[in-house]
Amino acid sequence: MITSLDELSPAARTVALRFLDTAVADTEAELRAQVVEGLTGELCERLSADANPESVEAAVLSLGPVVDEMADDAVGFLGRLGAGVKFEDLAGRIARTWWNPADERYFVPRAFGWGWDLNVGAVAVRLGLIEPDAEAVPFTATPDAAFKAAAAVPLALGAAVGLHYIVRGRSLPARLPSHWGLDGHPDRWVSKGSAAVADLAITSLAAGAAAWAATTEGEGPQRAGVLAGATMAGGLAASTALVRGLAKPRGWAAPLGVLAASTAVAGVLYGLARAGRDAEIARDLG
Amino acid sequence: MVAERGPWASQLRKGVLELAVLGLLDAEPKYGSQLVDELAVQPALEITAGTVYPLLARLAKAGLVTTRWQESPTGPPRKYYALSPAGREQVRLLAAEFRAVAKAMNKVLEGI
Repeated sequence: MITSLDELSPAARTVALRFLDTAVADTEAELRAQVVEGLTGELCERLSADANPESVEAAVLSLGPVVDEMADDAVGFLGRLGAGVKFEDLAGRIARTWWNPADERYFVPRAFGWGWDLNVGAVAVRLGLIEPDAEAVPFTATPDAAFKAAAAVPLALGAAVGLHYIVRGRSLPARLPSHWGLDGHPDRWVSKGSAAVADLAITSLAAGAAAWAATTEGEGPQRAGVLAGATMAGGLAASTALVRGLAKPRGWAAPLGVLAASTAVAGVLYGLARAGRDAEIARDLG
Repeated sequence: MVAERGPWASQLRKGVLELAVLGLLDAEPKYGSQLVDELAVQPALEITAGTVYPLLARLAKAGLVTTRWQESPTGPPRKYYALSPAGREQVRLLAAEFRAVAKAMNKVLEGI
């Protein structure tokens, strides 16, 4: 145990300070000093003066369980911080990334993973479909009925895939494609049963998530993100089911399926945002 | 005309962005694209739609501006932004700070 981070070697101290910096990067300004103080205390308790950078990192990782003892308002943040990994709610991040009309950029860093996502909001603004500032925070004014209506899309996709396998199941070949090469032609195959189970599992999960988003009383952006994600997952699985069932492989079928799913997502996001905009106007203009 | 547009100039503009928007709203409520147009006539500020709209959202969240949709004589309704009492206080505070800095800098740079 040490009493101050100053007792550490310069290298170890750098690691500790870097952790504290990143830990509070997104914290409200008024909360920052409190969180830094709390974390510094916890680190000091776990470290000795001869600690090397590795042992500081180990101490940082062990900070997870101490959050209960921290101030109430810091707990939420520290909980997410976990072992030093920043992590926001995925649904809200999907909504903010895929629909951000205030941002002019069409391609924005992905909601999760590496690469780029299309900012449908910027496209809608460019097409004159909605104002960049229709809602200061998109989907916060969107009425409950609009979320319920949007949930119909993933639910319908789930029902369609179910029907597809019930009606066409017997007539489908015993082995179906499971992967398509860059030229759009299948290069891997699975049994019909596995294909049906995979497609039905994904669309059912998507339908379940959509049903949750339709009925929850959570925040608008989160509901919109779940619905957008569910539409994407359900749309891709439904397209896959259709493309698998094609009598003759077509190079354009798989890309068309991805395009169809993306278009459905764009439609859902636009519909929800437009409903939010109209609700704001109705509120202000009576 | 701005001769040098390096990172320093960009930092400087970023610093006055909020004051510029609040300052324009002090006279009267304005809608988004009106603000964008009025800022665009100041090329030295280089404030574009892509910076104005996110800033307006932040100002609204911070309670410095209020928003209200109003019918437009032409086309669809428009969302107007107006300073809240806190926003009025803020614009005066920032303007005083800015003037003090500008005055001191002018003095320092006198004759250059």
